[in-house]
Amino acid sequence: MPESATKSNQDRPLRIFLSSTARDLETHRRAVAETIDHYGQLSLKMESFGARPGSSLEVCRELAAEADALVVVVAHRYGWVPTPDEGGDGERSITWHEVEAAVEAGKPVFVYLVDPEHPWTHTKEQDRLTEPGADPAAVAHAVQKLGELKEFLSARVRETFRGPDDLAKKVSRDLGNWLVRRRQGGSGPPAAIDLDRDQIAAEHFAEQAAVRFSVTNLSRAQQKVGLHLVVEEVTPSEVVRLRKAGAILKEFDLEAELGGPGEIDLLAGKPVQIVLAAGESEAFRLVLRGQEGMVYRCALAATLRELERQQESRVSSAEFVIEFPIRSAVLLRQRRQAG
Amino acid sequence: MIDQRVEQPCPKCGTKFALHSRPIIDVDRQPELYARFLADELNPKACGGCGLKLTLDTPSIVVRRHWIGVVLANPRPIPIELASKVVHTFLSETPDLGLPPDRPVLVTGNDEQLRRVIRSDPDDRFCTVRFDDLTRRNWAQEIVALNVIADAYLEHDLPEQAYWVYESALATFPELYFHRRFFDTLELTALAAGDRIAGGLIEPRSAPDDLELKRQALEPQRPELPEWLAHTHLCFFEDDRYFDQPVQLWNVRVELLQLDEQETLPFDRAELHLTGVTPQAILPQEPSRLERGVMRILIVLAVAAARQMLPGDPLDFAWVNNLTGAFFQLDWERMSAAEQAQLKQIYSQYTGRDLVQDFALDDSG
Repeated sequence: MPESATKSNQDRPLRIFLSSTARDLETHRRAVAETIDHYGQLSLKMESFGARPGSSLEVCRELAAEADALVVVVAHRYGWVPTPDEGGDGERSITWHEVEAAVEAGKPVFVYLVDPEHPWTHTKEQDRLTEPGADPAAVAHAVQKLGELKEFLSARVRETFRGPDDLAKKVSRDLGNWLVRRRQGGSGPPAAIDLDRDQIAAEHFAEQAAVRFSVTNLSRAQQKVGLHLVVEEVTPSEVVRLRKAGAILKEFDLEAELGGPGEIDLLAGKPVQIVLAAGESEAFRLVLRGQEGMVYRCALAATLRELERQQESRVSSAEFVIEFPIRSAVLLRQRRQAG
Repeated sequence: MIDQRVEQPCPKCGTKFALHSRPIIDVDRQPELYARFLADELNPKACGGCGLKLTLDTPSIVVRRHWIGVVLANPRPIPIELASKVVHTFLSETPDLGLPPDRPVLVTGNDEQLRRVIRSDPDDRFCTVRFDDLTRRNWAQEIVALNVIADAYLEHDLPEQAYWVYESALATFPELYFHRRFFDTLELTALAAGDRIAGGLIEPRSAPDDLELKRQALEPQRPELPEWLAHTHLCFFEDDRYFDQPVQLWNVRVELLQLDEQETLPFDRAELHLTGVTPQAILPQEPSRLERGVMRILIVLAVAAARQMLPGDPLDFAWVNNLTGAFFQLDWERMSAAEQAQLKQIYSQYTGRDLVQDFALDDSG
């Protein structure tokens, strides 16, 4: 039976393989992985493979082939080249092998190449010439092969990126569209909540933090959306920060008062109805007020009701944590006295 | 005498008209008068005889269940001592009112500001500063800069160093101890530091121990202020200019507020905000240029020390340095030769270095 026909497979998160060199693209990889997580999908990356039997090349090719899609990011390094002893050909890098495996398995490949004009502070392939004991011939070969890899990848639909944020935005857009198309084909979750993690902070205000997120209707039907904040856990914070004066936050359209664990209906009492057409997204800004000196582990949830069939479903965002540091001597004194 | 209904002749045609002088508007007892106040129809705007435009601003008191509003209607900014006296007189002479023990008093410069407060538009929050804070000199901008430095230490789990940033300012200007927000932070950093002892101290001791010494030395000098000043608030709007005078940089940390549905004042929910405008109704008390110069030198030195001790370079440091440096340059140019000489001497005592050289100042006199 094909995978897409089984209910369990319809509901499972999609596995998206992340292929790139590691050290020079660490922040980029993290940004892409977070984007994948935001869509409620599973990112497969070398950092999380753990110990597996078989050679690394074999494992990577297998995972890339089994994944539902592959995201490949290439900048200025060619990366590890498996030797014939390691199962490779001594020419193609691990990234190349992974892309090939996904292509051979008929999986979609999303290609992101660094903008050659973008300033780059990490070591480039050619910079290895300055390393002690560098083999000029090997470096020159790697530079040439990097060019060939980029040519190979350029034959596919590709996008250039500048920094990690730019990359994350483009991956988010492409994955979002792909997920919509997949959903229209009858699989995957009915919606995605894309959380802008960078905005979650109680940096300047003792009692409020800003959360920005969007909800995308990935189904073919028009959906009425309900929004909820699920507080999973509340624990004390030990962090002490000074209370700063900040900018005035005016633009928030949703707000919630964080209390104990539980669920908060973000649209309760609001004279609005949110209805999303197929493939449509809506962005939200939520201001959260919490108690000084507490940490809240939360997630956002969207309930979706198909207007035609009145069928209901629910999706959740990735979890996020908001910390409201201790900002007053009174509270700190109480904590110290309580031991 | 307050709350009088008086007749005045028009200065142009002599036509008599009635006006309220210093009205006391009790919302529950005089709803009609309150409605006229809200509609800005308490006093005529023009002479009924000749049409001469009249400006008949008068101090007013609006009595609400949860708070009392006082409109100063002062034609020019006044010192806090005078403003306090005016408010005290209004409230203590108001029949059946007296000085409320804990009911907040909202003081505005003009009646339109009080109306804006009452309208309670969510997009039009007002700034509040406590009267007792206004009795102290305006070190707000410097306290904000110290905050940035201390916070950087806290972020790197060095609360004991954060404490000594404040202590160095306090050692030079003991009056800071009586600044509510300065003291709160001083105590917070001391508690966070616990028994950790910062390096490089001539007399090593923990921050709480040092704070206790400060407390013993300074508490007896605490100025005695009437309690009602602590719940009397100057209220103003950032966009409002009601005196025809240049905008001054005031730089005071204010609490942004809006009356809630029950018309109470949710101070616990107020947002801390650094305003850059003068509220106009009350004159801020500024330290002298020389004192400001000394404080700014302390800040620049504290930033330099933090930069040496902490990894990276917090972005806020550049902001603090640029702002402090720019204001310092500006003040330097306005100082007398004697003040400049004094500052150079102080700097040399602190650092053993030359102020003019270090800050690239114009020393041509």
